[in-house]
Amino acid sequence: MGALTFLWLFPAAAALCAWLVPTPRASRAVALVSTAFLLAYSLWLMAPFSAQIGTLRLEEMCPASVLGIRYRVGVDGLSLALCWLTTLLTFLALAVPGEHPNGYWASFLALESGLLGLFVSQNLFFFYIFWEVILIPMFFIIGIWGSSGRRHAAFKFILYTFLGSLFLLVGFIALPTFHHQATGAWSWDIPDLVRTPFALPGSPLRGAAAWIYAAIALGFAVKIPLLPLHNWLPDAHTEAPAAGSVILAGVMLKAGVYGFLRILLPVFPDISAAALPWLGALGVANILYGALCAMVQTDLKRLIAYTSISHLGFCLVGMYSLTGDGLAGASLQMINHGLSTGALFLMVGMIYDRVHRRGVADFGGLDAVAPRLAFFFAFVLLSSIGLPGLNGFVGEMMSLTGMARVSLPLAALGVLGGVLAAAYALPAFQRVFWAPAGEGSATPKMTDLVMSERAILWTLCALILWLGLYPQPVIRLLEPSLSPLVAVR
Amino acid sequence: MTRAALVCLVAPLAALAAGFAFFHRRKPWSPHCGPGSTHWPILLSCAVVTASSWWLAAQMLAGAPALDRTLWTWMSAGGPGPGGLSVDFGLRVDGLGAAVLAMVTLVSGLIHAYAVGYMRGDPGFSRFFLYFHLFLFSMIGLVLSNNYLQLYLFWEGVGLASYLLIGFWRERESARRAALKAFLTNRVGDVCFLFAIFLLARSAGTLRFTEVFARLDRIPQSTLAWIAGLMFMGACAKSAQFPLYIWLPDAMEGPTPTSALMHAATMVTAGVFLMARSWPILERVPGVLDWIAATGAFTALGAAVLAFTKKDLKRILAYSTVSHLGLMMLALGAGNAYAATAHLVMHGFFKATLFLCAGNVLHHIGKSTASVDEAGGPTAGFFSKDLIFEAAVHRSAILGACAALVAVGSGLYIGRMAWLTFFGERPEQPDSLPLPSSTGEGRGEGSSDPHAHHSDPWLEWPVAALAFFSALIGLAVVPTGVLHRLILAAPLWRGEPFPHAPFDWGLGAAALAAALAGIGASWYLAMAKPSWDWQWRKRRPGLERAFDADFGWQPFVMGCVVQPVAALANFVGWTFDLRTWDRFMEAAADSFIGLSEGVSGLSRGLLNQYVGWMAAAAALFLLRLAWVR
Amino acid sequence: MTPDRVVWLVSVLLFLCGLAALLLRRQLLAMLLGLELMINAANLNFVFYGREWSDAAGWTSALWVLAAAAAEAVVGLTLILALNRLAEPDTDSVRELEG
Repeated sequence: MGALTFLWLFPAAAALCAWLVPTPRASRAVALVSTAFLLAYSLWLMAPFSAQIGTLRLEEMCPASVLGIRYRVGVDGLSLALCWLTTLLTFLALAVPGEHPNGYWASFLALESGLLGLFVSQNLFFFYIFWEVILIPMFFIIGIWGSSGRRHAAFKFILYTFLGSLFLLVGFIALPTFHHQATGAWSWDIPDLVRTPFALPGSPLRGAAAWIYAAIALGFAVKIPLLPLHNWLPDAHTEAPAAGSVILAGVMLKAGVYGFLRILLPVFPDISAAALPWLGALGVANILYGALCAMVQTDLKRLIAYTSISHLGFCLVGMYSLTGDGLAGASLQMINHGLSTGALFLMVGMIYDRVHRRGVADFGGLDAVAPRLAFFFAFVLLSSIGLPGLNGFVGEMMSLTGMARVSLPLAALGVLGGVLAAAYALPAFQRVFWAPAGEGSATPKMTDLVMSERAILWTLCALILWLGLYPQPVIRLLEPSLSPLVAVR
Repeated sequence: MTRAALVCLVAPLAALAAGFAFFHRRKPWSPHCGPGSTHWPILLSCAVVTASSWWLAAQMLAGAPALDRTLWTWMSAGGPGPGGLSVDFGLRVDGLGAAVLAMVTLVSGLIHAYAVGYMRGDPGFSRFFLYFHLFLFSMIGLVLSNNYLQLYLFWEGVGLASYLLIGFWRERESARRAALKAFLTNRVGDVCFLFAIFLLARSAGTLRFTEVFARLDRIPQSTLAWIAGLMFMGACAKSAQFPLYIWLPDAMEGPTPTSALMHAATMVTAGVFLMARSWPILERVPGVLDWIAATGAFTALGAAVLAFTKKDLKRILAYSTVSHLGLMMLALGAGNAYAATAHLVMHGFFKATLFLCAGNVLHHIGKSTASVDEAGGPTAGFFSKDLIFEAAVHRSAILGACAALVAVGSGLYIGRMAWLTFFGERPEQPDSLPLPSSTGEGRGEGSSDPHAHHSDPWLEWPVAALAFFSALIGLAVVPTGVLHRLILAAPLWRGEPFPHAPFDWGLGAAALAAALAGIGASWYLAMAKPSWDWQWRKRRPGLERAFDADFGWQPFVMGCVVQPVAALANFVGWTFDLRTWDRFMEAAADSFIGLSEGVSGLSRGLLNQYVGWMAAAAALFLLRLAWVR
Repeated sequence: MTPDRVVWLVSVLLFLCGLAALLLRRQLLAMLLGLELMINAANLNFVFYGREWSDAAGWTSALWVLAAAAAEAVVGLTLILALNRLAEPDTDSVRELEG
């Protein structure tokens, strides 16, 4: 069995194991051991990737195919970076102390399996299967182990994203069909589709190409989420259990961006260039809208959810600048956002586990009771608002620099997001941690972090600082996958 | 030399790490908080850093070439060429940097020592020192940067430290609000600065000072103007110039050492430093220079007037700082970056001294310590101010007049402050004069602080040392041209734009006369007619309100900037997103449920209905058949 | 009015009566009677045209239809009797089958 197939099959097997084991504690042990192993494994896979040419490596494929549908997996720097992010966040999310039934652990492992499979797939069919597969464990995670509004949120989540995926399916079926019409061969493999001559001037497929583009973009847009289609996110993030929010915000949203980078931009380079002003503007709208909404939220998790919308706007802005630094910034922003927002959700989860409240007005003076939590929270929040020296700044900076080369007004609007970010983060932070506790505040019941929680947060903070000051190794890992996407300008 | 520069950066980091480790173990809220051990590594680091920076300054004075080295690559993507960005972490030591660094480190060192005494007994003692040293580290990094993005990093770092320190006594609502105001206002400036960096990256392809200035010819004039203007907006926020100065007076909520270091001597001067660093860009855009000069003059005058009307000791000093910063900008705009920098260095010394004196006054009520009179007389500020005066007069008569007015004004307000604080009788009015009891800072107990009357050596000798330096350095350094040589050693710009003219005694006398006039007027108003100061307040409360609100600028900003944004956020977040758009999407989903319920009405199990449908279908079928016939 | 016209008219009338009974009556027995009426209306045509065209297929079909109708009536009546034991068999109340 190939190394990559093992990567996604192992957690699936572990999920089954975790489900069948008799006690929840054994199930938790299975989960922790397997996610730790997967983290080490993904790091090991990254080792041979250095600054060398980074087209697909480690490919495995099944020679037989039906109409071009066949099992084919392969990775390059971008996929591996995202796999690493997945394994890291899953491990850290599951390592938070807490008792849960078997199904919980099994669901997370199944989710991890789906995500890893998604990031290594090179055939559209399997890409789509994994895309849908990840919805199911997440539905259970939100719906069974979430907080008070979980049923509604779970259904909203799955129906909304599923509807988007249907458009994706239409596009995915159309692509190989047109490929066949253009070249006479059937193939659902992404590397083959990249070379489809859609763009030939005399080709009758040109008109259709725009529609296919729109359909696939719509499918990915729901996931990112792009602006008009973002309504599922606040509810899903708020009601999910902490670990669920971490994976949802940290990894699943990136799957949408990954789809753009892996499929849409390579297959349709000139349509992407034409779509630049629209999607760039939409990205800027995301940045500003997310920030404005975050300013008025009263629930901590909902606030962080809206900041996710804002940060992913940066990804889109960088991506659709189609410049070297913009694309690098967008990809780096994916990883950075995963780390910082993951940390934020973990911390809010730690608070919620103790007092079962998470409103901004429910606390006050938390700094006195839980100073370590205050330090970590401040640190990660500063990364989130783009303080230079921490990782959030690097991604945002490079994305906006890229966009500045293409459209100055959009970059100017995007940079305004920095002011709004401080405006939403700091007042909330002050009210929770610094202001004196009011009547009925939950602060007296809070206790500070325990050793395992601190270890998790130290890991994340160390990564945040490292990536803020020296992101170059990661950029070098990501760049070879991105250089074919840079539009010639 | 690299090692010395690196020491300047590494030592504070090491001290911070050591302090954090110690701090971490202690319970910050235990009742027996003595000073603990956090401050020793930090004080040691201050000493080391001061020694290194003075050594560097000596080196530069002796004629060493500038040091410009890359340490490591920060971010680099998109390859070389127009589509890529490449930024490194690096060091630059040249005359300008060395001069400012020398001032910063010496003043900081002394203020750190002062803070040991001042913060004694405060439960947040260790935390204070960590934040304070973080600030020093950021400031050093800012001065030693060799490219714009790294400068921006430390620029924001300084802003962060400022936020943490202004909001230090976080139980107080006013402190929290002041900290937030400072951070957000600075952020607005930062965003302008960042956008200027984008423009630079786009047009010059690089952000390193030396490379940018070499490529200026290739950049179109309009872009250069935008870059300069935006950077100036950033500097306005940091250096508290007209539109964005509103955070500085409120920033007095922080402990006095904070105000002394950050808001008098160092952080606020970061803006001027940036402008001085970017001089090659500025000298190509005379339009922007005029704007800078005008803003500087306007701010200087306005702040001087307002300083005259304030009652709170620290606020007077705050507005005085704004005024002096205005002077520095005026000098820049007048075309003399050297004068601006010289004043920066000197201002650091004397303003810090003044703030520490104010702190001492608050600490030991009734006991006066010597305060340096900055408004006139042969002390540090006098010489550098004179340089500014010269530059202004050379540039244009209006600016010269402004500078003269400011000199009169500063005499006025400083004199008033000195007379009223130290020599005036305590008038017995209901809304009585400043005195320490009504100041905005203090630990809540105000003047009845039990520690107040112990004479603390930590509090006294740093102030004395600073006063000594302020008095002597001016005389030693400016007219003899030492400072001139230092600042202009190994510069980034080409040519000799700032020749050193011998001290013009005529203009000097004029400046002295202006200052003495101001002092005389203030003596008259404060001492000879002591009731004047509170009488105008009683007689014209409207005027007092106008002054309090900075002629209406503060409410203007609140009403025209802050509130609309808050309203917009409310609209977008609540009215639109939650109530309109979300409900619409959910209604769309619910409509499907309605549709499904409607359709399922077809199969409710009612036999008669089924038969009816079957009969209808059959009839239609037959009709169709009949039609075909 | 030729004979085949008459037969046609009668059978259509009978069919419509049966259909009306099926549609409008609620009692299952009545609906069954209506059903039988419809079947026999069709049967009438078979019988008449079998004689008219001297085709044995017509009469054979009629016999077949009678047999089928009888079988179906048996099943239907059994069901109705079974339902009768439970409650008043009304189409509205037998919408959901249980047990």
